[in-house]
Amino acid sequence: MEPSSPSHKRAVILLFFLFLWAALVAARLFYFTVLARSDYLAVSNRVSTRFGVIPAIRGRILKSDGSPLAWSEFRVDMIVASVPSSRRVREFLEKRVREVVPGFTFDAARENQVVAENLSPEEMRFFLPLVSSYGVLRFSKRSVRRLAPGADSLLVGETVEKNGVLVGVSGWEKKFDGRLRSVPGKFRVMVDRTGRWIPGTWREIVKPCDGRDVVVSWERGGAAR
Amino acid sequence: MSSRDLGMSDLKKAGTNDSVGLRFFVSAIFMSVLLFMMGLWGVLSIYNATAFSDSPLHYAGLQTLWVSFGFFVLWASSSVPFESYERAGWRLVAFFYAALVLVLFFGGGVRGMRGWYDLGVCFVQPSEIAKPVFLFSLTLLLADGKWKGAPLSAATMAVTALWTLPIAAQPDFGTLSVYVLGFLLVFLSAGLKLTHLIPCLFFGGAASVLVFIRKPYVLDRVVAFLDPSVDPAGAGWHILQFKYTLARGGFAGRDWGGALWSNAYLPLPYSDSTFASLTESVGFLGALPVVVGYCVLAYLCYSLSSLAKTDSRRVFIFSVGGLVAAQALLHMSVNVGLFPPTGITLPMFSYGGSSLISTMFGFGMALSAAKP
Repeated sequence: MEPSSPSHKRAVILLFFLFLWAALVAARLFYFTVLARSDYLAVSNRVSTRFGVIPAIRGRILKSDGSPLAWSEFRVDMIVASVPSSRRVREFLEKRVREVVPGFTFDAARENQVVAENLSPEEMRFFLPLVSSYGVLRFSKRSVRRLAPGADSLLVGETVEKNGVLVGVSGWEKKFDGRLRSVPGKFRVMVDRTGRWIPGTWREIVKPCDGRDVVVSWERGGAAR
Repeated sequence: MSSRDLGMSDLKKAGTNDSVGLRFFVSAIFMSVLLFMMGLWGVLSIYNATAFSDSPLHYAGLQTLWVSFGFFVLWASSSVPFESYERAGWRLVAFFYAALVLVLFFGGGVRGMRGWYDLGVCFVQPSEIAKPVFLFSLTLLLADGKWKGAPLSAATMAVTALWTLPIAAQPDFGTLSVYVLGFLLVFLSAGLKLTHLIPCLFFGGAASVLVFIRKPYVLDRVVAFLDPSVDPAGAGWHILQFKYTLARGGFAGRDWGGALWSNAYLPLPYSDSTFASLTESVGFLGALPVVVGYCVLAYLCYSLSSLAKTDSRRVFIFSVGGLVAAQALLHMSVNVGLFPPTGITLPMFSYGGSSLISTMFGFGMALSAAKP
């Protein structure tokens, strides 16, 4: 092939256009990876990052001999995280859930509607396929306060859950709430497009702080140490 | 002419032959090394894109086998004298064309496309493997010598139409666009008149309108490409994920095996989205050499084409390198948002034996054509 032949010149021009195209691709690549990176990163983090609470245990109320008067236990419920807006989707999901929980109906007025409560580990395994398949359903952990048999409930007092934390509202629970109250932690995790956690991305942001145990003495008129 | 002159002339000829031989040898070695590095990089990239799956070594392991077989194909096809390919000529073309047509009747359907033969142990995509043979068929028209000027242009267009019709029937518009690029490379590098392409523009325009009417999803992709926010969960999803994946790579990338976004959000990270997935791990710094690598391959073929004995071989060699580079640039253009998603693989990088074998077969034929 003669270097000066028209077809040789055409080959050179074609090669030039290929290189130009490559330069355009490289420039565009630079744009997304460097120049506009922070904008797209912010959007993708918003889409993929979920924050959650790491529960902490409220302190126990103990008798002077060390036996517990009141303590916390965790319960797991299956709840509705968000009601689907589409009627068709709602009806489909209701039908699906009724196969395992007869009589279930979505109630848009109720936040975090409980579908099934106090699940045992076996029940959680049973419901796992449903929860994994449909993002509107979720397992939710909550604390409940238990009293020892024969304990004076008026003396010990009651607790209520506020923002995921048990708070004493009467009796010793209220009197020693400062010591008993726990501080939940916080975690961050990445989820995939189906809402499932991506392994290895869970990070603790705020360490949970369990409440301190309180030992009460009737002989000392309910004083604690 | 004195014997001294003859001697000098013989020496010059011998010297020229030596330099041609050396140029061929160096180019062939360089090309083989580059293809090997790309193949290896491709295997790592596929592992990276599937690192979070249940069996991350599955696709990477298979691709390793394909790369190994591919080098055998490169060696074997380059060892066959090009005269043998030319002697087989239209019989060779007919064989591959028949495979392309028969897949419409006997092939399997994957993702709504009837374009693969299911051989049990693997799938074979004839439209991929036939690419170098398609280029060869166009250059056979040049070698013929009977056709010149407008009849030659018309003949190349007719042959291209014959090849692209069964591909359009699958339908595989991504591969069809690669075949059109191949036609343009051969047409232009053969020195045919640009004005002869005018009828193609009309035909192409009419065909595009027909495609948009018959296959609305193609128009949806184009609309979503222009504004992904129109349908962010549907047709715009893939385009948005490309951008997020590239951004996560940044300048220097994350580690191999750390391509979270590719594994969790990016569709087809080991085939149609390979370049974006690779960028997430190696960043701009690691992805740029890939872009340069294809340019070097195209240049090597341009350099080898100057060693060819005939014009048709020259056009063939140049077109092989040009087409691989063009397909790679098309894939990368889709991944960086310059083009709507087309389903094109990145040669040597994307998972798939058919694409890899086709690339190696093409370069093997090109080396055979350039041999002094």
